[in-house]
Amino acid sequence: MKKELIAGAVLIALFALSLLNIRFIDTLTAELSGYVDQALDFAEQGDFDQAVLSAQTAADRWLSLDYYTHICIRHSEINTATDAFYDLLGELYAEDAGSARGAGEKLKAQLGSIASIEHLTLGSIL
Amino acid sequence: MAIIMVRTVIVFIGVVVAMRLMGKRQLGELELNELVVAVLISDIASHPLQDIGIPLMNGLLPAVVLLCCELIIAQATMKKAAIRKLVCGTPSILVQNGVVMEPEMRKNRFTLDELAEELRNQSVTDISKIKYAILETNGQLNVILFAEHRPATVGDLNLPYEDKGYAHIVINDGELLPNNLQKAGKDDKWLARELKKRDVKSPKQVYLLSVDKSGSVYYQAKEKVKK
Repeated sequence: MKKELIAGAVLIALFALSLLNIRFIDTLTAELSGYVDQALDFAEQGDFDQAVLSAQTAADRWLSLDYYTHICIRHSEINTATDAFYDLLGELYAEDAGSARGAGEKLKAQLGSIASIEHLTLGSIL
Repeated sequence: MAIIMVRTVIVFIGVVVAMRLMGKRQLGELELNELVVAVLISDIASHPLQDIGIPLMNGLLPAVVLLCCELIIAQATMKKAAIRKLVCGTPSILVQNGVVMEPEMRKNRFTLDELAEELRNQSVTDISKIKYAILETNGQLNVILFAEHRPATVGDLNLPYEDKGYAHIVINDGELLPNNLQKAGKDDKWLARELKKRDVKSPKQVYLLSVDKSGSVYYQAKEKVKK
């Protein structure tokens, strides 16, 4: 009986951890998307230095969570998101606001996809 | 390549621990839920080995969840007959009083060829001698013959017999097993006498030594010290 109670407790703990993980990913992707939006706003105003700074902050934050992302997220998704960060930075360095907008939206979509994969929805489960 | 090697070792240890926690039944005759879990764990745990782009947790976490579910379901099936019936099903009588039960054969999709094969495995060729042939929930076919066709036992023949009990292995490949020595009702002095009788200086020179309830000893030395 003891083994079964421990098994039940482990299941509940794992489920709780997975809910915490969902919350963390949502917070993280919202934070990163916020920086991206900030960068795009600066780019449209012509302030590319500030735009690069915002985008770089987002990229650094993403890369600083390397251990977490490689444990919890498929590596192909991580690589796609990382590439999208550098694409955005590339457009901002080139001071092309239009292309930066496209790259930024692509990056936000990728981050949104990473978060939505973890959500408990019928679509994700099926 | 190093990543694959390390992951393989981790997954191997994880799956062995999971199977160990699930119990001896996993290694023997599996019920339906046990078979499902064993197959799933083996398959899922191997995914991170084939693709290093998949996090190791994607293989280990499902294994842990399956292990926990199996432990809970196993306990539930043990406690409640209704759950056991739902999960494992019920045994089916395929042969009764020498007659093959056609409806049960059809229900279990069991052909006469398969029945004959299973009966031959148990050295039975004449269905008319079978009182019951029961298809168990783990897929095994158990055969009970009519009383007059069963092999006679020592008790049936009223012959004198001696129950020698269980033979405890006391030395296993040079290693002394003190617990088994105690269970056999013997001590170190007895062991020293037995070894001296056989001109053996140490348990390390012994491949196998076992003793049963009647004191009968089986001894086999390691090859290099055999005389």
